Amino acid sequence: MATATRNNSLIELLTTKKVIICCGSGGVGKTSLSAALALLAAMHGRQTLIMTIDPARRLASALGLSALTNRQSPVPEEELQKAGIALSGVFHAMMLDAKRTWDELVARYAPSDSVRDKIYNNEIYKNISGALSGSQEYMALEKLYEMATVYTYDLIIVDTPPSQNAIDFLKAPVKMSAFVGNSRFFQIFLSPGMRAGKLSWKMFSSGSASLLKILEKITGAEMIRDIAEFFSNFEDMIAGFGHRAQAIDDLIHSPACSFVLIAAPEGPSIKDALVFKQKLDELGLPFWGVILNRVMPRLPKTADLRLIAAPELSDQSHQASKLVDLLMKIYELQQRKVTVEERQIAELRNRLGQTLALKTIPLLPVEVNELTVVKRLTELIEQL
Amino acid sequence: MNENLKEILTRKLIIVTGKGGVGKSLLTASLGRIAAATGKQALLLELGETRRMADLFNRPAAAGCELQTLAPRITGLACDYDAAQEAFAISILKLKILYHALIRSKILKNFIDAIPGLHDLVVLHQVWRLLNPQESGEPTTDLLIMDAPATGHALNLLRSPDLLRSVIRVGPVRRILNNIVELLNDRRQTIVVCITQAEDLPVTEALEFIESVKRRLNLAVGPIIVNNVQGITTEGLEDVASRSRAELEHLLSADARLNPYNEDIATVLAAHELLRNRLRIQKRHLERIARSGHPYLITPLLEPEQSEADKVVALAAWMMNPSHEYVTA
Repeated sequence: MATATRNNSLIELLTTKKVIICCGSGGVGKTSLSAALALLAAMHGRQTLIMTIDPARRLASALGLSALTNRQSPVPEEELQKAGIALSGVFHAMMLDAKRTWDELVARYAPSDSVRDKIYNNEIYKNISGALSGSQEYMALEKLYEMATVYTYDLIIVDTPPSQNAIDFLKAPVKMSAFVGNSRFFQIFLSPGMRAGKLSWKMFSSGSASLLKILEKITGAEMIRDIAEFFSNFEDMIAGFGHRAQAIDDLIHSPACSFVLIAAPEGPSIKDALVFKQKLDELGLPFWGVILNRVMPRLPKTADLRLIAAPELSDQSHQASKLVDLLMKIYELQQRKVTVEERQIAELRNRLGQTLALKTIPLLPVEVNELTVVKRLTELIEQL
Repeated sequence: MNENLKEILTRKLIIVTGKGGVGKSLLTASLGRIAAATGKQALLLELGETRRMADLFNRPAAAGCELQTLAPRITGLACDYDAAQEAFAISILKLKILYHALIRSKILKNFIDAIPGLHDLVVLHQVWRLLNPQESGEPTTDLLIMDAPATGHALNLLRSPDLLRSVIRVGPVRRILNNIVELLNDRRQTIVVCITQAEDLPVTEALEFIESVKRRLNLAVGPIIVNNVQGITTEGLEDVASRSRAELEHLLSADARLNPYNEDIATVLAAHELLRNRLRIQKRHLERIARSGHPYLITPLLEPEQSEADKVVALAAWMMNPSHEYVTA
C-alpha cells in the first residue's frame, strides 16, 4: 500500500502560506533567496511583499528600495520589464528600519504628543531604539505584524537580519517580552517617588530601597533619573506592547506561517542549522525545512585527460599537456567539493528526518544583484 | 615573517571583526597560532554563546566559563554573558552575596540588558580585566585576540564607551569606562582587523566599517584580510582560468589524441567556465579593496576536505610565509 508523501515543494509553500520567515546566519544568501521566493509567488498570482533588512545596493535598487525605508512600495515596473518578468500577482518590497519602527510604535501607543516627544528625546530611548540587542529582530516581527494585519497581502516573506547564528532571530521575542513584561522591574521605576523626580527612599519598602541605592551606586544617579523618566513615560504603552507581543507570538505560531532555514553546504553552517531546528522544536514553531544555497554543481565523470594528453617530445604537446593538467585540476577540485558537500547534505538529511524539506540551489556563475538573476533563481526554485 | 603581520602582533589586543560567514573565527584562531609560533602567549576570547574555538583546535568544548588550553601557548575563553556580567557587577559592588541577591530577583540582569551601552561595557570590561591581571587576578597573557561580532555590532561595541561617557559622569562605572577608553585608544596596545571576502556585501561592509572607525573612533586599524580567495594556491591556475572557452577549445583541438574525448572536454570546460566566472566576480571586488587605499592581505580558499582545525593551521602557515606579501597603500 503506497503511503502519501508530504508535498514539500517550494511552490506548495509559496502558494499556501501567509507568512514565510527566512532565517539563517550571515553570508548564506538569505536576501537573494527571499527575493526569489517572493518573485516566484508573485509570478504565481499572489499579492506578495518582501521585507528585507540589509540588501546590497544594486539589488535594493532593482527592488525599488533605495529611496524609501520602512514603507512598502511596488517593485518598479521598468525593472520587471528589463528582466522580462510578467506578473500575474503583485510584488511589493520594503526595507526595514528598526529605529523608525520603534519610533512608529511609540507614536502609536503614546498617550499624547508631548509624551511621545519626551520619549524621543530621552537619552535612554535613543540608545535603546538603535542598539538594544535583539531589537532589530523584534522590530522585524513588529513590522511583520503590522503588514500582516493592516494590509491585505496574500503572502509576506521576511528576510531576517544578519546574525552570527540562525537561532539569534528566535531569541528576540523572548528578550523583548522579558524587557517589557518584568513587572517588578517596572514597579520600582514607575512608583510615585521616581515619577516625581525625587529619589525618596522613605517611600519604598526596605527591599526596593536598597536595590535602588545599589543601582544608583552602579550607574550614577543621573542615569537612574533618565531611566525613571523613560519608563514612567513608557508606562501607558506597556499594556499595548504586551498585547502586541502576544499577538505576534500567535501569528508566528499559526499554521499560516512557516519558518525556512537558509544554510550553506559547509560544516559550521549545517551545525548551525541543527541548533536552529532544535530551538524551533522547543518553541513549537512551524518549520518547513532547509534550503542549502550555493551548492557546487555536479558534473559527469570524465576520463583522466592527463593520461590521454601525456607530454611527448614536441614542444607543442608539452604546452597542451600543461594546459590539460591545469584544466583537470580545476575539474577535480570542483568534483572534490561536490563530494564533500554531498556527504554533508546526506548528514543533514539524516538529522532532519523525513518530514522536513531539504532542497539545494546551485552556485551561480553570476552575482544576485539584478532582477534577471533573481528570475533565474525562480526558475531553479520552481523545480524544487 | 611579514612586517605587517609582525606589526599586528606587537599589540596586546587584536579585535577581529567582519561580516558573518567570511571566516572571522578561522582567522582569529590562525592569528593565535601565529602569535604562539613567535613565542607569545595568546588568549582567544569568544563572545556570546558561540563556542567555535574548541572545534578549531580539535579540543572538546569547555564546560562553563573557564580558561581552556587550546594548544601550546594558546588559551581560549568562551565566557557566556552571564559570567562576564557577574564579574562586572562584583567589581563594582565588591560583594558576591549582594550580586546574587540581585540576580535572583532578575532586576539587575534586566537593567543591564535594557541599557545596550552597559551590555557592551560588561564585555569590554571583561577584556580589560583579562589584560590587567595585576588588578583583576586573572592569569597573564601576552596578547588577547577577540573574535568580535560582525561589523555592525562591533561598531556599536567599540562606540559604546564614548556614548556612555556622556551619560555616566561619576562613580565606579565611570572609572571602568575611563580604563576601557584608555585601552582602546592606545594605538600601540589595540588594533582592529577586519576580515572580508571578495564579494559584494562583505567588501562594502568592510570598507564602511573601516571608514566609520577612522571617522568616529580613535582606534588603530590593521590591514584588511581578504579570505577565501580562489585561484592562488596553484601556479598557472589563474592564467588558465582567465582564458576564454573558445580559446581553450582551439588549443585542445590542436592535440589529435584528445579528439575522441569531446564530451569529456566539454565537461572539463564547464568546470573551467564556472571558475572563470567566479574569478571575474572575485577580481571585481578585490579591485574595490585595492582602490580604497587600505592595506590588505589575501588568504586562500582552502582544500574542501580539510577539517576546520586543519584550515586554521593552513591559514597560519600561509600568513607566516614571507613571500605572501601584504598589499600596502
